[in-house]
Amino acid sequence: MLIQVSCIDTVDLELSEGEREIFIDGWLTDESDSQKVQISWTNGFLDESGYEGVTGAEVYVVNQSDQRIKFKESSPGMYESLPEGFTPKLGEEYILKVTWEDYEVQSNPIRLVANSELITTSVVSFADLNQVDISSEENNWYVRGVIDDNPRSNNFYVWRLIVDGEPRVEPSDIVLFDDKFTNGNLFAFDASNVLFRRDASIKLIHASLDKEAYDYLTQLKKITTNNSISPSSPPSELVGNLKDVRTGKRILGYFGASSVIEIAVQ
Amino acid sequence: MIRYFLFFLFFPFCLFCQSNPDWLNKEIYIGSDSPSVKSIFDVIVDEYQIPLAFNDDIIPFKKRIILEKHKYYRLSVILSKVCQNEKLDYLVRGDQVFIKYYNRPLSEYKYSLYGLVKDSASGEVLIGATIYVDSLKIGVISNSYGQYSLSLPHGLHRVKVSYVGYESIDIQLDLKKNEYVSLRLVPKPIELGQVLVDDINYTDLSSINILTGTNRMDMELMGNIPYLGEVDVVQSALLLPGINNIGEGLSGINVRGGASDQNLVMLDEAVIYNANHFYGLISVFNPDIVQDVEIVKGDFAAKYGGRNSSLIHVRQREGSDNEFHLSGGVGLITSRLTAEGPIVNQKLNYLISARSTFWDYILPATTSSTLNTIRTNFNDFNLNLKYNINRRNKVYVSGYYGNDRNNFGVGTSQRWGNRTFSIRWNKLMAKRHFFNLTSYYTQYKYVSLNENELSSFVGESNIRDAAVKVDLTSYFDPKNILEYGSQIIYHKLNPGKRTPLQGSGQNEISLPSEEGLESSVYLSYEKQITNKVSGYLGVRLSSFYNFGKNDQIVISENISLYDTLQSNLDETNILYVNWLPRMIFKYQFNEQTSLKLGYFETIQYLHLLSPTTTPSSSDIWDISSVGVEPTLMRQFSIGAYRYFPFLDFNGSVEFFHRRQYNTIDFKNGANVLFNEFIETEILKGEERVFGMEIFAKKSFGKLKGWLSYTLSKAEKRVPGNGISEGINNGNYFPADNDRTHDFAITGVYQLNNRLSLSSSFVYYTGRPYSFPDKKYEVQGILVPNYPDRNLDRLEDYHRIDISATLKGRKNKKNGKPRKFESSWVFTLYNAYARRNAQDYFFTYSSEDVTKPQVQKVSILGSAIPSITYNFRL
Repeated sequence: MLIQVSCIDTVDLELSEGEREIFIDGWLTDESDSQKVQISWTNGFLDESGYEGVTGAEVYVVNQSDQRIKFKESSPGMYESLPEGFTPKLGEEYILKVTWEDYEVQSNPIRLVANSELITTSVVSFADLNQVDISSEENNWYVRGVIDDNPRSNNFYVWRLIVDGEPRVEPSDIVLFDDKFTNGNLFAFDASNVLFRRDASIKLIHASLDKEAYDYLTQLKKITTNNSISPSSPPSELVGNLKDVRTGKRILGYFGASSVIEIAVQ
Repeated sequence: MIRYFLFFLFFPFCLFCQSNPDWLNKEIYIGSDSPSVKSIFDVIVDEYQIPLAFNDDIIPFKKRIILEKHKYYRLSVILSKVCQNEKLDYLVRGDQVFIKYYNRPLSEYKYSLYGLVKDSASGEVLIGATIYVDSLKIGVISNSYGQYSLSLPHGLHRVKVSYVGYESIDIQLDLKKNEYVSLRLVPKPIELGQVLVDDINYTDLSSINILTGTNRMDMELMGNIPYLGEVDVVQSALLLPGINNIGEGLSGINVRGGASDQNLVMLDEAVIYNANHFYGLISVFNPDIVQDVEIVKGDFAAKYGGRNSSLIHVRQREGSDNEFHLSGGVGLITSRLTAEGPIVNQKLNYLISARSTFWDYILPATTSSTLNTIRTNFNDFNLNLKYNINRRNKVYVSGYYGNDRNNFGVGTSQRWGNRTFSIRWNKLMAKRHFFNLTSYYTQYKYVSLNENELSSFVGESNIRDAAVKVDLTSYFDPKNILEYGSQIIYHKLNPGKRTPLQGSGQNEISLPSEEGLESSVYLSYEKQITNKVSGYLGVRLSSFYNFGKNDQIVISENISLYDTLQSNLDETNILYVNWLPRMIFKYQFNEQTSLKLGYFETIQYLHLLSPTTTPSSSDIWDISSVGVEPTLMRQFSIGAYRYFPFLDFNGSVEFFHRRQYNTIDFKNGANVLFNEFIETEILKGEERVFGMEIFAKKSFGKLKGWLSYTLSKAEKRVPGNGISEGINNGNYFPADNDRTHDFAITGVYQLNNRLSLSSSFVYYTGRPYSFPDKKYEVQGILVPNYPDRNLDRLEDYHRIDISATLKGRKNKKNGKPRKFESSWVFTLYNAYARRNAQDYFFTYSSEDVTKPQVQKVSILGSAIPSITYNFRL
């Protein structure tokens, strides 16, 4: 009922513009040997000019054997591990290091944790089709996956869905769950927050996370999901795992790692 | 002994002697500090040779008189002190000074007038009726069980009894002994344009009452101000000064800047842990069963405690003593049915009521695919039984059962609700003493159910209380009232349990339960010190014992590390004990005007773990422990109160300042779901609130209503600890419910005997909000960067509601009264369809996903009509 009487209007607000900061987004996966780190400047909230890349930075990842994997700038602000290539190994720890002008940024050590097997996936109707008449054109279906959870550790997962070739990137489309209640079991999980048409082509990216990355993405989802009907978290700064070692100042962004399985959902 | 005269022997002769007035002015030298009566009399008789006559048997020779040594005192002063509090008097007859028993004149004998105030038709007791003796300018208000007691001198008195909505009565009494009088009032028919000053409840005037920050809802007036089709206690409370909430369609109310878990909401003495249905749109109080609503904003009498911010006590109606009645209503939001009547005539009566929504039947019929997949409903049931053992003893049994249910998608649902049961024994003891023994059980339960294959489970959390309390009130006379009693509450919390269903991939998880014992003893004394000055002094000794059944994690002192306290080593047992003073002083300028000063301390041992801006039904409660200290509040208030006879309204202005210590806040990204070590998610803080409340109410005549305005500032400070950062660098920042200006005006106009119109206008400053100062993008998601919390604001809020109530004709064409009464209620919420801001969304445009924009969300952004049909037979 509230949804029906609520309304959204665009408004003009005068927003103060804070000092621009460097933002770093790097995420290692075992999906390929191409790893990417993006470094850009923040801008004012109403600025429509896009995010200016930070060029000329020295970027490398250090593994636990103290080997340096150097990333090269492929486009302004985008740094890649190619052409040499680099595939992170399960269980290994990595640290991101970025040097640029007066900045000397370093991440907390992160670990690539093993993923649990995704046994099956299926498409399920949100509404009870025995009671409600829903056309196949309506966004009423979601993905259910059955996971064989790894019993040796606490596991954290993120799912991303690609619907008809388009990744779903709304904050409310982030699917996060853990094995707090299912550790070591074969269990089903419903991504019922991402609805699509019955005949849409669906790809599911099933990725592992460590606890720190899970908390970061959970916080990201909380502060970016817009929902006035249910109680919301107070807005706060999104705290990552990067720091300028010269000044001790926190740097925006996150460096994480995931073991990834990508499957087409039938 | 021979030195003393025998009083009875000489007294008759001495009466004829010549008087010598100088004796009483004779200066007597006192040689020692606080001498005994015997030593003083020795001095008077032996040294000063004053002929003092008395009977040895009646003189308190050992009594010490407070007199300073080496000073002279007149004999009259000394004898006054000797006779004081001894039922003695002195006089001079002829040449003798006599000490004798005090012959009390009849007019000084006092008797108790006591009994009940009732509705003459139904026999239902009336709470807050005024019993007033104009010639003596004294009066009392009937208590929450309709009882009253007045101490009056011997003789003829005219006693006026009045109550809103009832004909006042005058009774003449020739009081020669203690008398029980049952006062029966007749409901008043509506008479337009009649404003009788006589009808005013003098003792109900805020200028006369000693307590500050107290509002008693006028349910008759509230009955004409429906909200979405029916009267709602919580929504009506929002029209009073100092009470607000975060926004529309959200749970919880905030009183004088306090958090929503700091309101002690009670139904017939039993605590209600979640007073909301339907996402906060409707309260759990079925309007058909509400007799009285008392709202106290922090200035609690000593008998109340347990929450810091406010007390909202709802009392259920009693069933009719005389005949069966069936009443109810059918509306768009809810429908209600109530039955009441006697079971045993004048001995045992009942009231039973049910209320429900029917949206489960309506939503599937809609054409919207969003709506017809939603299943949501609530219902509640109320019961009240009263047994008159005799005219001095009554037993009440009352209960409440509420249930909300939501289904989302296939196989998943959540249910929650309160259950309360209370039994009260109410006794009138020795004419001036009221005794009330209450025992109650209350439970709030949240259940989530997932029936899908491989993931099915039942999750549950709950809080349960079992309590016993004793309250006594002694009305020595209207100028001396003593209240005392005690209370003990056993709290048991189940913070979370998940049980897998057959074939599920879920594990069974159960967090250990928590237990605590909250007890208190209180004493308060209200005294009229002089004709102008009255005082209220109270103290509450409050304690809380955490049984320490769970391990706890606390931050080590001075180092940034967690320490684990082990329950099996008794490291987690803890006892908190606090003395909580309560005091008020009132200066009465005249019958219409007074000034009051108050100071109060309260403490709260229960905390709702709600890391969101508003509470949710699934939030769990926690009790104070080693790591979570109780929240202490201190409040100072000063107010001026005046009744304006020529305008016929009560007016008041109150200023208050309150501070709270050890308030609960949460670190960013706090996870409270199934978290065994909740202490690690909590940050300790403090709050300060300053405010001014103006209230003016007109209760009589064709046009009734009130105006309220609050100017306030509510701020929090969360400095963080050695492990987690504070909020806004540990500086004070506006609380979520801080509203600088909060204005409401409500009016009811009685157009004729059948039709009344009402309207409310509210305006308040937009709530504090956080605006971003920059943005960036994480994996395609726009992330606004919020540098600080609550340093900006939403736009201001305002709206008008209007309603009309049309009552059916009371009489048939032949003039005889109808047995069947009915009314239609029409309401229009947000009449000018203002789109008030509930939230700002900082996001990309849906048309152009590269363009950032600010979207304003309005929850009830349209005019919402509603219609309800009510009946009673």
